[in-house]
Amino acid sequence: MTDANGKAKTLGACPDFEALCAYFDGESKDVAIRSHVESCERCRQELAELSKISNALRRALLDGEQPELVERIKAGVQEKLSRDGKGPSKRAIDFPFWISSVAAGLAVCALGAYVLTHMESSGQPERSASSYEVASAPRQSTTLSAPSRTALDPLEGTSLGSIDLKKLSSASFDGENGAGLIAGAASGEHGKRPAMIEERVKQVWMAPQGLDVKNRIESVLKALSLTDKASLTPSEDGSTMNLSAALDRRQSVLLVRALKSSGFDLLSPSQPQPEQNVFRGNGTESVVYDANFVFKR
Amino acid sequence: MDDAGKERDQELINRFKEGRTEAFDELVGLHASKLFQTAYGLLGSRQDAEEVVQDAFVRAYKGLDEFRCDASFETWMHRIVLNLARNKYHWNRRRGEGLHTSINERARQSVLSESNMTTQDIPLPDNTYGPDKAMENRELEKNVMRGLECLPDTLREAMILRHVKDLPYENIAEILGCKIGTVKSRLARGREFLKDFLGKLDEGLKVTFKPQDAHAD
Repeated sequence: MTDANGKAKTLGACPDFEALCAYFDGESKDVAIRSHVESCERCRQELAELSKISNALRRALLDGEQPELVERIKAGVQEKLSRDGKGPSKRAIDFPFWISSVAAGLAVCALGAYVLTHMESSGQPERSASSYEVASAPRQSTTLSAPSRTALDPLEGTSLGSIDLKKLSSASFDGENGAGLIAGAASGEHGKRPAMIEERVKQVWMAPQGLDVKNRIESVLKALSLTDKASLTPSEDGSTMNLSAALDRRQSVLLVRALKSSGFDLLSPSQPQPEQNVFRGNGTESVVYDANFVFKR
Repeated sequence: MDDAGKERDQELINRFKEGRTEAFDELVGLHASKLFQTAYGLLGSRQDAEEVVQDAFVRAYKGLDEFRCDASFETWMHRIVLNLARNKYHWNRRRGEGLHTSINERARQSVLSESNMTTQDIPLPDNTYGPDKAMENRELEKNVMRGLECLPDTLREAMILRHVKDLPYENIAEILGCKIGTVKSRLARGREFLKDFLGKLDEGLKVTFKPQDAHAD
């Protein structure tokens, strides 16, 4: 619409700044404002100014982001959850201090009574009725020492420097043993609540300072006879190592436990977790396992 | 957030409640970046912002079993981040100078030390605009952030929530616990101040923030 001089004809008075901002944000349903700003040079300039400020602000906020931010946040969350004992709390409210104290006292008493009751049994921990072993699980008892440690290897001389394969073979899958047994597991108890291993597993591990990461992972793969199923690729800047492997669920559990036993810290909450014992489905289902190993600096 | 996003979050939450803890990993992956931007905008420190976002997810992990779907997961997380960032900001301020002193204080201190101004006088311009557009943009971003730092908490929070993810007024109101009209007003006043702030920087004038503008919604 134009006036007699061919200039755009302005419809109505300029909206106040608040209304113009709402229009700018797409929050105004006022058709009159739209008609007005289309023909008002002053309002269009205001909108251009708003756009300039908004874009600058968005860029500035994005600028705070650094590479691998999300991975670092995931790692931090996992670390803090580990410190708290992992697993979601069933108690969402904070009880008064005295109630917590009494509860803690009772728990200590109960634990003491349990220990006294079971002290005379063997040194082996008693297995719960719901715990079971998978018949098909390999029962190797070999203890493999991780080879080729460097002088800087912090695991040298520690119990973490070896992989006890016997300990790695006790995972259970409810699809192979019947749901009845799983139902007997303590639901909600960490490690016994059946957990799902997805088709694609992505995890982040923290490597101990000074460790020859490639060598250590290779030794783990060799110990588990997974060398031909996996590939190791260092990142371009050398700050991380990527492990990709085509496994089945049971192998992924063994791998995660072996890596944990070899001194790596798992930072991701995704399954399989090293201390998880019971999983859903069948252990022979395929899993694409993808892990990044971050070097501690 | 669109309906597809809400449905995806809900599905992940359901999976988490069924015992698939890796679903939480996905939730972190989906929301960490935007929540970080919010925290960074409020605190001005990458380290503090990361810390706050991590703590927020830890709280969410522990409380997700009890999470009802009255609000979206994103809104819920923004509320947690906002509360933690506020606490962190005030804790930093009480602690005084330090590595993690929040953005507002750092900005004021650096400016005041340069110019001997009072706390009511806000940054003088630096006329370092170069011919290069990228440099100009960079300068503008810096000055917009400086202006943002001068805003009171209520206006700054609304501005950041709006610009981090183009959150609708309704969601911002839900997160901040105020009316939509209040959000509208806060955004307009925040922008008006920034516009004025940048204009005066261009003219080489001092900008004074009027505290009485801060509280009237």
